[in-house]
Amino acid sequence: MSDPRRMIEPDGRSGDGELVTPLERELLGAGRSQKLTSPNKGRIWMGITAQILPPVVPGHLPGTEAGTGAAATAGLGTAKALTAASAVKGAIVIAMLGGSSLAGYHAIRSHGTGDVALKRTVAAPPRSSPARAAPPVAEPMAQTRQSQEEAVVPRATSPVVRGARDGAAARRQQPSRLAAEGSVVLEARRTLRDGDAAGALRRLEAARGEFADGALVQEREALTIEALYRDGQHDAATHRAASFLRAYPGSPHAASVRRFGGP
Amino acid sequence: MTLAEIYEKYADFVWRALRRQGVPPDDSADAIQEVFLIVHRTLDSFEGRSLLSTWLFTICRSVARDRRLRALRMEIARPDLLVDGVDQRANAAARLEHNDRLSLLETILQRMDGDLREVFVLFEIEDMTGEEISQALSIPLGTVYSRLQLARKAFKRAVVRMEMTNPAPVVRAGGRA
Repeated sequence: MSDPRRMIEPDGRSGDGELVTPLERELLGAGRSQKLTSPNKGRIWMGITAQILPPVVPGHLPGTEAGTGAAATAGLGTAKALTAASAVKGAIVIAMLGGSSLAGYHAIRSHGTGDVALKRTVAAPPRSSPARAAPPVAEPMAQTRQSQEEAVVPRATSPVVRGARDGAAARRQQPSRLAAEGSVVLEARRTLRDGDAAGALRRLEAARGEFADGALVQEREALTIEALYRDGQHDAATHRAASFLRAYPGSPHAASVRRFGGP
Repeated sequence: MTLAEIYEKYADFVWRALRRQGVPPDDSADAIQEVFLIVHRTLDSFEGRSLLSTWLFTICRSVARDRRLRALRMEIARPDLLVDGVDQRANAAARLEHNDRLSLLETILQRMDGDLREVFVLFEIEDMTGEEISQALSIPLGTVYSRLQLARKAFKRAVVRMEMTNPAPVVRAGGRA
């Protein structure tokens, strides 16, 4: 099997083999030319480097002056591997280019054996980004290019990587399935807020059947406990709350569960 | 490649992938950082059996999914004092961007079925091959093609519908007004 022609190519087809219209092509061209603005790209990079290793004030470690110079050079666009690492366990050099958004640094990691190993060299990205390969046709109009660069607001202190916090069940979930599960649970919540506790319980029970290994088990259970309580089934709410708190003692919903099903 | 080189080459790709996986604009910088921190942690284990872009996409997918999950949990746990339903701020922003081609594209993509959207974006916008998409999404190549076919139809229908219901912005978007 070979790939079909892309819609944006000359003679590209869409739908039922119909020719691509100019508007369709322009919409796709807009998507292809969507880029981060250069300042944002630089700020995000700074945030990444700041989280990989903490900064060390230049001058406090042997060899930092040389490292700073090399990093600065890299930041100005050479982007080549730095070689000025001194044999200082865990030493880092971060060079800030006059308060600009670009930074280069050179990380040296120790493996705990007393030896110093150059694990990975990270240099600042060049100031100007190379353009993405232009689509064969339908280059976006110049006057609209600015609008295709989306403004993002990088946060100075981003949370650390949250990795696999949400567990395997969440990772297994396909986007549409997660959305479907969320929709059902939210609908149950709305029903409960509208005062229909029995209706909410029915929806939650259906969700339990449909998304047995879903990613929103805690939320479903917490809502169920509240719905049981509001439906007058206080004993059932208490019983279920005890199970919930045993299973998820650190749950963000623990306070709510205690409120409606606590002893 | 160093992390910096990967960032320089793929930051825009990562950003687009995250946005099209439902990461909102004001969360995208944070999400991009998260992706590249994962890259930093796991780069040594990347063996080059797949394309770098394919690998990055799978990371984006995972990060976006975790964020959607967190957003859902926050939504469910949201205090009741807030009004359910329509997000007025999002509506206002949408109105402001109404005439923008990119906004039109995003609207169409967001309304598309998630499975179809993934294939459509990777093929038609990110220039991945069918094989690469098959690898990135862990689906057979035939499924890639069938989803692409359905997605193209959905895209075409959505563009036609948009032209019929809101012709003025579309004409401007086409640059022929």
